[in-house]
Amino acid sequence: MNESAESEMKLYLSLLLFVILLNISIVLATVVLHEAGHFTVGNYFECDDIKIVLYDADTSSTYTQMSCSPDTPLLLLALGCFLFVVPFAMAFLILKDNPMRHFAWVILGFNLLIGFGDIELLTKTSIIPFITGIIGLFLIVVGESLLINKYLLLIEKRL
Amino acid sequence: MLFEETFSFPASIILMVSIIAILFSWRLYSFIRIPKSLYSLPSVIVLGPRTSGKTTLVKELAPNINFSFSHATKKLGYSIYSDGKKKVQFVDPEKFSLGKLNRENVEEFKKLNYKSLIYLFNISPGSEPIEKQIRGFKKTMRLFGRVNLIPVATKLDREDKRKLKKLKQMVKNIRKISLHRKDGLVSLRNSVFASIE
Repeated sequence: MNESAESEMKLYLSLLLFVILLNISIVLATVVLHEAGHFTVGNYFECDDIKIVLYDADTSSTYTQMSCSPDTPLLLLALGCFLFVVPFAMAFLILKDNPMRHFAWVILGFNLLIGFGDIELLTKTSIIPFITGIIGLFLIVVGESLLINKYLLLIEKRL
Repeated sequence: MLFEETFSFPASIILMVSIIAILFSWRLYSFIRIPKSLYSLPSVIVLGPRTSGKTTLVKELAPNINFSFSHATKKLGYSIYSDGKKKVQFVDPEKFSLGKLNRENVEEFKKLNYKSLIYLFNISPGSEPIEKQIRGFKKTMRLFGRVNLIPVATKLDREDKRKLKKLKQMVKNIRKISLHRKDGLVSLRNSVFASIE
């Protein structure tokens, strides 16, 4: 590999690392906001013992736990996962020419994907959550593709 | 009540990193995959206004092998034609550069080993005004400098006589082809081959 090809490759690898680090931050933020949505709605309906567990080593899972009275609307508790995530995602769309605006699709898609259990709780079937999961995955792939393309475009201009 | 997520937090990170790695590798692969021949083979770039038939002409001139290559910044269709002795690459830059032809994207074209430029004029009634097309041609001449530029009037089967007359007055050595009737294509290809050593 000649010198210029090597430096190009380094540039691409550093871009890959950058995109991965950005994504880890966004995933972390989305998971926290997703759970915070459940937490806030639960708190609003005066549920007790509300806990956000980012990682439970016993069950290898992430969840929000709460004890609510039977008349608490399950629909709103489950939909709480969108409460902060949607505005968070929409905020990225304000970044007009910034490649990071495509994180909006990634965040929405990721939220749908991890919200499989919430939607299953609501619909009591697995078909609808499965479909939303597929839509979520699709949004993630589209968002990431656009993001990577935009960053590659910036690198291309530099080369 | 438990609102459990589909994936645990670490699993989500692993999932997302995997998706990025796959997408990124694929995009990078498509970049590296640009055949070396793209920049080394003698090339003929086909330029012209929208709907002048650039893509169709490239397919007609080199019907056997068609490639398309897409990259973050550019999309390009090209076809290689061989007469058994020489190979020529016809490049359709319709999607090559974002936006219109300017100094910056002409530099991209100049990376190609181009020997000739074919400039298409659409002389059908509904096309862009011929004066505008001639301005585009002159701009191309300025941007590319000294190059074997072949002006070609297309859509001869639906020609606007006024446009053709004006074109003949303003541009010398204009060739006429009809992609629909496939008139003048062989002679155009032969003259392109003749321009390549």
